[in-house]
Amino acid sequence: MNEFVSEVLERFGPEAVCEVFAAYGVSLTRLPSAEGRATIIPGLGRDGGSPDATVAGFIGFSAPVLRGALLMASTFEVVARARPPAVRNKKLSSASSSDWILARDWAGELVNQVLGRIKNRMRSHGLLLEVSAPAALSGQALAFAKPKSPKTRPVLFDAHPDKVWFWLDALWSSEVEATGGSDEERKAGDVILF
Amino acid sequence: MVKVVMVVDDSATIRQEVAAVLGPEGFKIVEAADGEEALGKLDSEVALVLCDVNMPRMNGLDFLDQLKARKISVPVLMLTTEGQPDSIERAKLAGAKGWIIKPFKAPQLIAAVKQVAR
Repeated sequence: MNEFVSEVLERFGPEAVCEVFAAYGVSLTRLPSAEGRATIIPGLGRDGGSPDATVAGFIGFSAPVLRGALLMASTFEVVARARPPAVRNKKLSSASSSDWILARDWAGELVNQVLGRIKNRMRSHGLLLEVSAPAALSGQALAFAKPKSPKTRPVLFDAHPDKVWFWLDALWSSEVEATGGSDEERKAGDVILF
Repeated sequence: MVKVVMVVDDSATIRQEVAAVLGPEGFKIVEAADGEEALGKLDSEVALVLCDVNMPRMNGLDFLDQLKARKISVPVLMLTTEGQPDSIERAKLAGAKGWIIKPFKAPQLIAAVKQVAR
């Protein structure tokens, strides 16, 4: 069973990130392991250095035998570029404090949608997650303490040219049991009328 | 007559997105950031509520329960990232008229809203 949770950490999580960004027209390419660079949000800027404007979304989840959190960070520019097409005609500016509010809002919603996809995938394997409301933060050159969990899997994506940094951590009991995948999983965009 | 759609979502961007999609279709949009705020703003003018599930203070499923408890009759479509059959079934039993999974596609949202709005 632990293989299933490991698969969630290593495969479903990063896949969900790519799917959510792709749904909003931003193509991501997974880069080689970010493990060795986990002490700060590394190289999000196009020059590989710390950008001036970093936005991050954070959300937690739990189940009777499982709990964890995920964090996703990128530049103001990438978060603004990943906004829904219907509102993209109004460009966001990092010089505007009200636009920073919208960037943080969207970073929180993106991380919520990533966890929503992971939740749907886990539910189809019999694991029902409860999720918290997302939180978001922003600032110049955000830095994080290196996560202490040995199971932490930071993943870095290229958003051409800036980067997206993703971290998913989970703790689980040996009692975790997943069933085989079911066909009940619903997809983004589905409309079900009762 | 202009129909009023209430959008209940803690993301301001999602509320703006829904307004940008439904506004040109002739709908007037009223916004609320969670179920509690929505209950305070609901009136008989509202033709449809589009409601997220995972929100602070009062989530979308509890909002449905509150509508039922207060005998407020208004069509509700859930608009959420979640797609668990048990949550969908709970919403259906609580009186929701449908379930749309984010990110939504504009034509499908417009069609569903036009079909369900009173």
